[in-house]
Amino acid sequence: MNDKNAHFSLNEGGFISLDFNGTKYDRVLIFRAFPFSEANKFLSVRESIGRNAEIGIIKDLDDIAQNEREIILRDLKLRYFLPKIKNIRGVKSEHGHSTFLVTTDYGSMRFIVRSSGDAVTTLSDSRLIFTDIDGNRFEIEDINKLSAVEIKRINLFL
Amino acid sequence: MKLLFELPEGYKKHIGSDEQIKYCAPFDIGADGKAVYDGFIAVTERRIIVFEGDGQPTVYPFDKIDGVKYQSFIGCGAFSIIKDGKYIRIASFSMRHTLRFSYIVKGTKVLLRGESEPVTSHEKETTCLKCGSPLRGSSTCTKCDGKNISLRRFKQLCAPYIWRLIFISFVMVLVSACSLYTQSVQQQFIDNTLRNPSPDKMNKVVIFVITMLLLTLSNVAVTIYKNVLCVKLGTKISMDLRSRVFNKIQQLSMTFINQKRPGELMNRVTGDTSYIREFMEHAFGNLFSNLFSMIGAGALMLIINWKLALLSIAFVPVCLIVTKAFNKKMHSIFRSQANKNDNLKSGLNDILNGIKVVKNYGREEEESEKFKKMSKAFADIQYKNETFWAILFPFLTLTMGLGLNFITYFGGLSVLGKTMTAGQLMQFTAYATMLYSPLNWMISLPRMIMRMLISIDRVFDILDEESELDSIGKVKKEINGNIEFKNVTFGYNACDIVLEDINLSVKKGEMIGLVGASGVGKSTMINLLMRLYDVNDGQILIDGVDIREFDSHSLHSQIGVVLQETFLFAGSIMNNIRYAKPDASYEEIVRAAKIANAHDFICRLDDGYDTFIGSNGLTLSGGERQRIAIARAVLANPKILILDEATSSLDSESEYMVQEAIERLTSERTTFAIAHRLSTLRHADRLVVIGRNHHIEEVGTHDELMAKKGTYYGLVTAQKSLFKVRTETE
Repeated sequence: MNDKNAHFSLNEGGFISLDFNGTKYDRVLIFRAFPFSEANKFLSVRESIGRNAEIGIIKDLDDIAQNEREIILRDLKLRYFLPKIKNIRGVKSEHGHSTFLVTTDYGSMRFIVRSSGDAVTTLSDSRLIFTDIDGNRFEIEDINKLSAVEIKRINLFL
Repeated sequence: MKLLFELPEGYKKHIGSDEQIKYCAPFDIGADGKAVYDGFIAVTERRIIVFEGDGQPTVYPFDKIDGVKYQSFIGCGAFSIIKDGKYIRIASFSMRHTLRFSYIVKGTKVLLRGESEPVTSHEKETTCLKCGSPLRGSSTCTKCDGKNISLRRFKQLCAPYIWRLIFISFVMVLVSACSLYTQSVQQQFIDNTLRNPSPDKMNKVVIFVITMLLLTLSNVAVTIYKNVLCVKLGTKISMDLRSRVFNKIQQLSMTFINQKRPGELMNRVTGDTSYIREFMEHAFGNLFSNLFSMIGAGALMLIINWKLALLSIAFVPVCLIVTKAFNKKMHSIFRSQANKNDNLKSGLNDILNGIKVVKNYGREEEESEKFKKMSKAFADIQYKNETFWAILFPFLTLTMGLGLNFITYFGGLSVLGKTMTAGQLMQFTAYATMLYSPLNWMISLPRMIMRMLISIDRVFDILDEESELDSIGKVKKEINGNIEFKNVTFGYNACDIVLEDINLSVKKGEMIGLVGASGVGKSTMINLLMRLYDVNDGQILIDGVDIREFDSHSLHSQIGVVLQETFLFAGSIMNNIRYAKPDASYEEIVRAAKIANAHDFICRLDDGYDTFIGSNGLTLSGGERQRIAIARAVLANPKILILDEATSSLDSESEYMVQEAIERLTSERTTFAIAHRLSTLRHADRLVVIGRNHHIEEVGTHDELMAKKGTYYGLVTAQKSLFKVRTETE
């Protein structure tokens, strides 16, 4: 799929409509094939009905026209809740739980994780995912970009 | 889980005085993909209202919409309305509220139908709704009002042992009185005997030594006695609690058990109860002796020299602060060490389990490298922590020592100034040590108490849980085998319905084959029949009686089950076969094994029926295990038989043996069988096809359904062509 054969638009319900080679779909679902390693590549566009048959794959979001790309990205943010942590404003540890106060790409957030090892998944040396007690996942894309103070705050989990 | 939040004051003006809010909850993701902090959805009996910010709320009157839908996404969910067949998203929320909204949507559907029956949720909140602190699976917050509840639970727990507790406290006081008195004897000896030496006092030395020896001995004896009492009581309390929890868990419904994470129940039975024991031994066991020692020492110090005493007591807060800071640091560094250790262990476990794959792909070097890295991370932190400990601990001792030096200095001055005797100084410093040494223990006391209260809460959470299942059923009777599903609707949670409006009537002795793609609810139907769960709507009747009215023990003893994976308990084959009927005779066991085609292979085993199986016992093949399970079912002689993929994990030969055994077993019994391989269901009297829409799609014999060319026909042809492909490639 690219900007020549596929056109995405926002329907009145806040979901994505697609015109693909002349076939119109009122509502399609977009799945990330590699939500962590390549979040904006290999997006599988599927029907919203039945068995969610695949309509096509967007190999790279850059192949899609600029304004449609934004529509897709906004939709993905509502379908994939995985806030990226930009700043760690504070961590308070108490009785086996730690409360995080962070700034993310969704805005300011507070979440609680268990202070044991299973709260953190290490994707690579510098990439971490915290899973909070509700099951929400918060990502730190690159711990090397954090300040020394922030590193100190999360030292317990590194 | 709370489904009706209080709407913030500013929003209340938008609610009409003639309507009542039925459900209300906050949502936390805005339509622009940003976090929302003031979003609320309220559902009244006639409309849905979405509040966000100061502007006008968006209103969706019930008469303008066709339906509502809960959509589950990755890490989040959405509440949508359906209008003219199209979805309109009205709010998004993170996992914090997904479950809550799945119930609210369910409740809204009820309201849309014009009914008013409220929907409630049994799930627990993860955090306290008042203060936001985590609840750790208990339903009361230890921070808010819960402290009183926890304390009440603690009292309730201690009540049966109250006299023993009082006695132990008395013994503890005795121990500290003893050590306090020892110092006084010592002082007398120094001041009266040693400071005025004369040869005729030789016998006093002997008396002193003997007194000291006796005091020390009695101190040791009483301490040992106290420790033994504490351990005994702690063990007793935790054992009583453990069996209470275990009994309760066995009574609870599968819904409750499935809500818990794997290992969590195990933890509550063993971990939490043993923590309560540890608390009894370590915290409670020292509580009175330490407190009495500290107070006694403080008081005696004041009597000996009040100025010096006040000085030393003033030093206590300094020590407290230093120890507390030190403790906090220790706690955090050892926690991170433990985390690294866990990583190392699970990493090692992973590699060892996958060692075949590692070798197959020649990845030994990469894995070594990976392991080395993990190992180094652990070693680094261990080194750091040990050095920290090695350096800081002497400093801590120094702080304590400084206090004593302080006392010695001023005390020494007093002795020189004749306001104090040397013996008194000795006594004084000894009391000061008694005052300081429990400080470390005292600092960890709040944590120990907190931890114990949490454990108590977690344990009582189970004990206080209302068992949904046992509430009614008292009917005990012989089942005939007529079964009827009447408008049965069920879902494991509110988000997804697994079975909807199932109607099926089965006559005694009939064999029903349940067919459908995986995940459509075949096993669920069987779970409902076995009453591992209760239906949400409708009823299941056995011989015209609702299964909820049956005594669960009587019901279960008349239903036989053979599952895909048979669980055999550690023990002999014989004990496993007669699990359902412990008083079965040898003859009955052999007969059952023969019917199950198991007798021959059992006889060929070295130890025959006495062969030990289960963990560290003999490993049986899948087919052999299945046949033992069938023998078990035969012996139980159930009126209703359930076969859930009983042959699907077997090779063709053992499948034949098992199939043959099953045929003997199913005659005369009402049987429900699930099988993926449709050929195994060829003996079924009727086949019931469950569709993806959670309804029964088709019912009929094999021939009828094949003629109908519907879903079943599709499944059969799909399997045939698969078989064809397989035989062609072979």
